[in-house]
Amino acid sequence: MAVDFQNKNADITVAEDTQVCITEPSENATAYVHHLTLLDIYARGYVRPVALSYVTHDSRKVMNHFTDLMAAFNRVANALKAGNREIFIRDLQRKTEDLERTIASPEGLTSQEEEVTQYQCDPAILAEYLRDLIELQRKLQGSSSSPAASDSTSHSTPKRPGSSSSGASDRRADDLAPLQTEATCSPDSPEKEGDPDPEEEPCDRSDMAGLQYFPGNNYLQGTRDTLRTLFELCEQGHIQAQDLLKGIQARFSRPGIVLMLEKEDHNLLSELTPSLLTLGNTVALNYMLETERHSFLESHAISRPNSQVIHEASISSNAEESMSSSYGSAESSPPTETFKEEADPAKAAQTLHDTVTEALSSFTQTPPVAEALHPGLSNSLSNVDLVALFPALSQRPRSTSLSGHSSCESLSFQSFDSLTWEKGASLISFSPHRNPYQNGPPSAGLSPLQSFAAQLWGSYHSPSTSSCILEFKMKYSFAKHLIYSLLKGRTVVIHASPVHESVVRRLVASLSIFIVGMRGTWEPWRTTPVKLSELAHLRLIGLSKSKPLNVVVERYSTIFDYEAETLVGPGYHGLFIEDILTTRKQWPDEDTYLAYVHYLLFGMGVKGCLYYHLCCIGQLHLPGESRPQAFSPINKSTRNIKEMSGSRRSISDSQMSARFAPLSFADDDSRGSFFKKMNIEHSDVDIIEHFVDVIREQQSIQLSGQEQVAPVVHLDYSPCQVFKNILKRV
Amino acid sequence: RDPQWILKMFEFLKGKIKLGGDPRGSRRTPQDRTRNTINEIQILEKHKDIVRLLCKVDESRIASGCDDGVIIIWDRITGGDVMTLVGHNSRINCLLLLEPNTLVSGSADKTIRLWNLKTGECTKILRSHEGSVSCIVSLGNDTFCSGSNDRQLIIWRNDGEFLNKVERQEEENLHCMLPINGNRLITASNSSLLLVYKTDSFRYNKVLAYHKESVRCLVRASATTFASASLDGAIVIWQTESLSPLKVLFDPEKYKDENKVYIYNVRYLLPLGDRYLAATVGRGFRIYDVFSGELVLNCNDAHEADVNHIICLYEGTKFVTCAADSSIRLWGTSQRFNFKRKDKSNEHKETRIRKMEPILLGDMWAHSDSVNQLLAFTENAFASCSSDSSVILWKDGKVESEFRNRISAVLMYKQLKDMEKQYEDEKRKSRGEAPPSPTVPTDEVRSVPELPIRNPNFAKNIGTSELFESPKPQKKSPRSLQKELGERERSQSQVFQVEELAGVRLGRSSSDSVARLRNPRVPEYVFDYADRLYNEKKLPLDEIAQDLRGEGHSEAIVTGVLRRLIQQGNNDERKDNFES
Repeated sequence: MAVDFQNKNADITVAEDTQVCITEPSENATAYVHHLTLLDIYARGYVRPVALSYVTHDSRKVMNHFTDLMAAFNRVANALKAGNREIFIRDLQRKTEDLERTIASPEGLTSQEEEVTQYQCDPAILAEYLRDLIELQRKLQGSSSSPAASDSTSHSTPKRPGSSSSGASDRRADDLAPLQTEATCSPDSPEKEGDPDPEEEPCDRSDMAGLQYFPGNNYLQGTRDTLRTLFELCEQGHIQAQDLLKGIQARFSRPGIVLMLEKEDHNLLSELTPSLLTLGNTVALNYMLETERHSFLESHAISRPNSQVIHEASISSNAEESMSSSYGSAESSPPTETFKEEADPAKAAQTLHDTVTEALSSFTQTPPVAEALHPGLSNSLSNVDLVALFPALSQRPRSTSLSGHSSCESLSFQSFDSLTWEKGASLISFSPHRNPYQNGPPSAGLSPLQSFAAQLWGSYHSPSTSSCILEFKMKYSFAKHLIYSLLKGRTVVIHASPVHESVVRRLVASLSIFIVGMRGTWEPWRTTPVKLSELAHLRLIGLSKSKPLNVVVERYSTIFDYEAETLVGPGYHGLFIEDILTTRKQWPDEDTYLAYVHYLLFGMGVKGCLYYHLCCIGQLHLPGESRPQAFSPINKSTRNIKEMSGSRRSISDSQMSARFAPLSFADDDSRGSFFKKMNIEHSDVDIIEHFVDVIREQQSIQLSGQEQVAPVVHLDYSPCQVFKNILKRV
Repeated sequence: RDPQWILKMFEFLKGKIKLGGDPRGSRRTPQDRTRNTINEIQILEKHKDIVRLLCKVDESRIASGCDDGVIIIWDRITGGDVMTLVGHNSRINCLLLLEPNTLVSGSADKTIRLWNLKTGECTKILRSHEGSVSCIVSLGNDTFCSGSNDRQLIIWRNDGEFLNKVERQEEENLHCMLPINGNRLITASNSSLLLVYKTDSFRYNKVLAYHKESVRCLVRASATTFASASLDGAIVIWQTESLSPLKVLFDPEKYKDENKVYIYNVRYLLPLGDRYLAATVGRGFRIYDVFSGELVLNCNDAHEADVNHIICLYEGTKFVTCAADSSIRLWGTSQRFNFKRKDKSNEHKETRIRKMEPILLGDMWAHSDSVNQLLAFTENAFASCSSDSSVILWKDGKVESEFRNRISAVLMYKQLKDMEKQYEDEKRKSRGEAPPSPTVPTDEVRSVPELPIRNPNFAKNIGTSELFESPKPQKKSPRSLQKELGERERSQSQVFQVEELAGVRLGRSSSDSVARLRNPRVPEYVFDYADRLYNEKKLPLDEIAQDLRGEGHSEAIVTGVLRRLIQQGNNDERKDNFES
């Protein structure tokens, strides 16, 4: 950046920030560059152009996340500007005072006459210079409400000039250390350029030369030959900016697939709605299809990658990128192995994908979900994209092809945007007057919601909470029955003696991914008896054997005796969990298997979503059925999709009321036909129904918004069996 | 795998399978679990002592009386406690709802309190008794009677004014009372005799003797009979007019076991319609045909301990029993017989039904101590109270699920409407059109009938009032109206059901919903039709009512239409004729 701003008068010309994407084919590098301008009293025109950049080998990453990068770098720029402004005002004030003192006492000049001969210091020039500075100072103070200043308040804490921390005398050499490495451009790392323009002389303005002679002006002693560093220009703002840059580096140096998934989930997480299906701590999908589709389109507003792109990105981002950091704080090594799922799980994945797609496509041939319910939104249903209806459909299946990431920075999603989602808080947000845990909340279960990516590449990487789901699967023959209980909403109690507390804690944390819904909580270890009323929320409990189990609670819970390796609970007969506990024994690592499990759970969620829309709130029978349709205006329509989309009519009130007013709901037969058509049988029906129940309950709570609602406990009367572990210990 | 190994595993698992999952190894296991859909409970834990009494206050509230003297009014929909009535300092023995918002409670602290259920205040304390108040019954005519262990029966006005008192003839503690025709009151106590008192002359009238042990239950069995049951298991049907014993339904000769425990103790009698009578007998329950005196259904070992209470659900097809062993069980019959079916003719007296076998449908454990009473508040939901100081609301999960479906549909509708509006705005913006000015309510808008949903919160939260709006009245010929009548009323009634359900369930203040239930809204087109008959054809109200009934309208709608017609035509003589 060799842009120069000539100062013709006392005004400061500050260019607005610009953001560009630069590619360098020879280096196979793409950079996002953010240009900003800082104020420097010793610079020409009082301005110093600065460039911040993020360089990566993955060009798609920059393009796909351009807006995110822009927002993130804007925060950095604002922090720098805020700090810089404080420093500039302080310098201006000091210089003004020094000039005034110099003009008032001309003997000060004569005493150092030998040193000033080359600058021909004239009191008249000094006076003019002083006037300019005073004018500048006045304008700066007058424009204290400028956007940059107002923005900066939220990101920095401006300190008064002269305070100990911002004083120039407290400057330490260590503070400059990061800046000394800024010029080194490392792949996939943010680069800050102090812009040492060789053509720019540090003090080429003759009228600035007199500063050296001013009494008390030791601030610039020894620094005249070099440009001031960013720290000198911004001080506190620089420190803050450094932290933000570290965050950016940590965030964007992750694989592209992670960023994509995270972004997708972020749209779900940013607006917690009761129609959101959560699995464990992660969100799966929004059961309101239009919302889901919109969030998807928003998240792919710039470039909507297809699954192949994502797939390639996942490979390239891991194979080629080396995530080194200038700051040395977030080192990560490239993965050593790449796992491609080609066995049964992939086939099953494709089968599920095809099934859902087929169901949706067949459905859209008569009354498409989105169009039937809201024709005004889509332009052409003939071009309706099923993937758009279920955006993650295009991505999650591919997640089985993820590379096995063995180590990534353990940075949770929340740390980026300071967003936290407490499970309890989310419920409270649904119904502000309700305390969902009035009967003794299990605090341990109130862990924050996080994105799917954050769970895979984030918190599970700490040793204490690392997942042991793969180990559990391999170790216990009754794993499917236990998972079935969790997925159908039946509380599971892991009963163990206190010596096994740590193991049970880890087991509970691992199995918590099967807990459905935001109301579901878990407690890793408990030493007090469990009450029946707590089963309204508690889905998974690690219980000490030091306390006897309540007989009534035992009746409605699945009991896993850790020491005896027995499970008492309903047996599972279905396909979903068999797929989860696939016979494949070799998995690259825990995360890969976890991703696979998430994918299958997501598939169940999608089926639940279909069930929810087809049989619960809409009662739109599946195509090919001869049953009379409840919502006659749509279902009796013989118009094809093109006609409907071509007319692009909106839903009139009469149609709406005709569609919803009867509100007669699907009977058991139509539900049965749905499950039959979807090939969902036996125990899997319970799982799908529980998914939908959870959504409906969340919505019910939001709508009722009432105080002191006694929690509803669902009693599971299923007959129980005793299952003994028949597998040998691993 | 090795077949032998599989066989071994099968044998092993066979021994381990717990059918029914009863940890205590109950002898009975549910035979048809699919018919038990009562699987949602709400545990209300605010009492601090044994809860013995439950009383239905209105459609959305129930009251529970505790041994610590506290009465709590619960919202049966949300499970929240609406109000806590504190005043008695000893056990609550009896609760009676006098008027829609007046509750009377009798306590072991010898006082009777009148509570205003709107404010939760105790409006009056009646201190005339000198012993524990054990029974309160309504006598009609704005009076009620209280019985105490001090041998006094006192008659009060509903506002708490003392009217008179009667000296009981026996010394034993009073158990129950039953008012019958002819201003007579029957009392049962620890003695085996039933005493009859005249409540108009405040005098002892007669003594009825049949039982061998203390009589614990008195109920009205039919229009002309009442039933009594005692510790010895004897169940006797008495004629109301003559006060003579009509039938003896059950009278075991040996009613004590070797430990001198009454094994046929009848704790509760439940009349089922006009013909059947259910009785808890020892550990089981029985259902008798009152007219023939035959035993229709017999379940001797329904529970492991004495059955305390029985209620009837699902329109007379299922029963729920509770016992001292803390269990609650759901029962059905093989024929799914409806015991509450009403026969208009008297032919049923001659018809005989075959004896039925009880089927255990559900074993519902939630209490940890003796379950003292059950209270059915709808056909598919009930409450139970227990010595574990809890009250539990039991609800049909299927019904609740359907209700949540409706809520989801409403939310979906709202969201789609919002998005459609947003889309229209964007479209308008892209065309460069100005946003529409906010609509000023016109007279027509104002004249739109008020929302059927009376609960403001519900309407506010939904924001889709049009969803439940009734169609605007349209001027149509009576003939075309008649054609549409059947179809439209069906859909309209469904809308009403939805709004009632929504209003009752989501209502914080239930009075509107209750009023709504009692006075159902008249569809405009029905009224329009009736109005034409009334004003144009000048038909008398009787004929209009008959016409509407002929069209298949419910009696409530007919009444509502007539009420509105009467309100309109104040000076019409037809109104006077009709009222007379």
